[in-house]
Amino acid sequence: MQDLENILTNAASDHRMAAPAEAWLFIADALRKRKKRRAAWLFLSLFALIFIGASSSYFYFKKENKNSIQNTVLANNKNDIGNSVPINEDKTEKEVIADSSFSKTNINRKITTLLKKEIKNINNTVNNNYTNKKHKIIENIRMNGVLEQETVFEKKSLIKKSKSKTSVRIIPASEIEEILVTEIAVTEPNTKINEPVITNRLATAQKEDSIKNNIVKKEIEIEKINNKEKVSPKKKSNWNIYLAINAGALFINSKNIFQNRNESLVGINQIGFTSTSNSSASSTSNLANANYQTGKQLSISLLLKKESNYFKPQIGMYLNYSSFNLKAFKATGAILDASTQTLDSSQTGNSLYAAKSTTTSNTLKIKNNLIQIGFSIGASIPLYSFKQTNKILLQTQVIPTYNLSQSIQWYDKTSTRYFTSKKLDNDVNVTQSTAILWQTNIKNRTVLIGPYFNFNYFKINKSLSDVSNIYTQSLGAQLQIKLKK
Amino acid sequence: MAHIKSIDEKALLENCLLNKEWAQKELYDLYSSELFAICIRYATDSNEAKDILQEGFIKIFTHLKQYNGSGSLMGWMKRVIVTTALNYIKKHKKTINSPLDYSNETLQESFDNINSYINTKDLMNAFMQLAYSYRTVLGLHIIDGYSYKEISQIIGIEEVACRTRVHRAKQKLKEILQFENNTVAIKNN
Repeated sequence: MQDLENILTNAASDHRMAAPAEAWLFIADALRKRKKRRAAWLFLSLFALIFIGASSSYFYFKKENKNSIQNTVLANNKNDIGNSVPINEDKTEKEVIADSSFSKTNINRKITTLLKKEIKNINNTVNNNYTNKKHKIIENIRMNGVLEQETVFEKKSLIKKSKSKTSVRIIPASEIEEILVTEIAVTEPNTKINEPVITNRLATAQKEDSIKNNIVKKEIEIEKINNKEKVSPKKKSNWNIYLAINAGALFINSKNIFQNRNESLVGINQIGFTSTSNSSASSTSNLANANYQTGKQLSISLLLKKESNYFKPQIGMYLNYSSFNLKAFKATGAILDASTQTLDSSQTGNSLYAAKSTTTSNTLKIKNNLIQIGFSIGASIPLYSFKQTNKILLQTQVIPTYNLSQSIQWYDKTSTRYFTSKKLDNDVNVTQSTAILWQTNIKNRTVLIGPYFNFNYFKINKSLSDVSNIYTQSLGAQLQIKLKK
Repeated sequence: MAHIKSIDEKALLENCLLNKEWAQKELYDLYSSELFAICIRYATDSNEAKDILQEGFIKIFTHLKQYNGSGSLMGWMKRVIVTTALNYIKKHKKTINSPLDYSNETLQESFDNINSYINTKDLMNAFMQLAYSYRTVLGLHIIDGYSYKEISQIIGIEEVACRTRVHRAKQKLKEILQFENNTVAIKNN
């Protein structure tokens, strides 16, 4: 009597079977790809870290620099400014000076500010002089009791300001002379009023006047510039052009390529089938183990966006390149049996391609490079705003596309041949894209960056009677740059 | 050459951990035949066995750092291959759970009534002739030492049904062996 269980255990431990040689090729290939993928992820992570670090440093130091300029300007102008003089209805003088953006309007405003300060100082001086003289005259009159010669000068300001515009009244020379004579007569009773004296005094007054005139002329010029801006302000266009670039990974379920096959094994131009003879055999496939395969996607588009505070519609042109490989399993001389889902080796002369996640000695790699063009319709709405130029936006687009590449090819490693599928269906191809973008201002240019997720759909005409729906998803990063500053 | 000297094995392991392809190939050449035999036990066909072997070896190489030296390397690799195969079994629950006829079962019956000498080769051949559902449970229980409870959880049947199936598998194996012995006897005569 023998203990069969023990014998069975021993037999199993001594049991050997030669492993297929090509299995090692697949294993080595898979291990190499893992290494490459790990290196790629490491590189991407490093790049992302450097990018984030550099961006953070840039914005941090930019802000620090702006703050220090602001503080310096404010400190220097603190005493001169005193009470802020309104330059325009929206901003105070302090704000204008603190504004570090150097547009033409702001430069003009700065000139206006400085000149007006100068004018104000001179005005104050002139006014003070007149006021002082007035007081002196009145005092003199009181002291000297010369009531009949009491003359009260009205303050004559060369510059009058009104709410809407600056008006100028230049005192004519004759009037100045009259004032001078009266002034001398009252304040300097001992001074002989003769022509040289008057001429001298007049010259002095005129000199003073000309300085004021120059200032006034400048002010008139500034006023003209300001009025010009008000009358014909630069029309800001509401529509702007953006360049958008998407780069990411593509995901495709290769099972979709081979699903719902129920056709005769005829011809070569059918995905998954090649036949050496006309066969009436048919098969269906419901392939388990078909995996998601990954690929790459790169797209570029030009977007025309309407600028607004909330809802921003956009239209654009779209060009997309997708690349992915599909692994397939080929069983030479066998056919997939519909009922048992197993390979029936009784059928010969046909080769069958089925999508399986693993490979065997008859492994195929299906190369697929799709090029699509289309147009996009979409919109973006702001989700969150912080600071004037930074926003988080939600962007969604629908992109109908047309396939420029007309077929899918694949390559048979064992027979070293390329096979071509039937034409891609161009009736219904559409991509739905959603992105969350961070909008910011880099060197006076609006830039948006963020992740996107696309859901793509297109069709393949595998045969006259069979159409396969292909769904792919893609995930990656989008960069948008406004073309005009 | 199933086992190499421990010092060589250590050097080979170190090079495999450094992802040296030549070391990985050497390890594959040393152990693939033994491990492929395990894959054959649990696969429905040879192609599936190849898939299990390939996936198993990829797992071995990517998780090699988890082997801490306790127990033999071969034992650890066997466990990885069996785990990979079990995952395959889980995916094929329908196949191994096909209804079986349990009528006229006598649970007291055992292997004890085999009279003729059995060589290991014949035994393995007979084992491989068993239906997949029998072969799986018998292999898991007798060869790989899984309990009925564990097997029932893997396959998704009741523990009682699992016991019955193991018993039935033994019976079938015996029938095959007896049939082959009789065939050989007739031929010799």
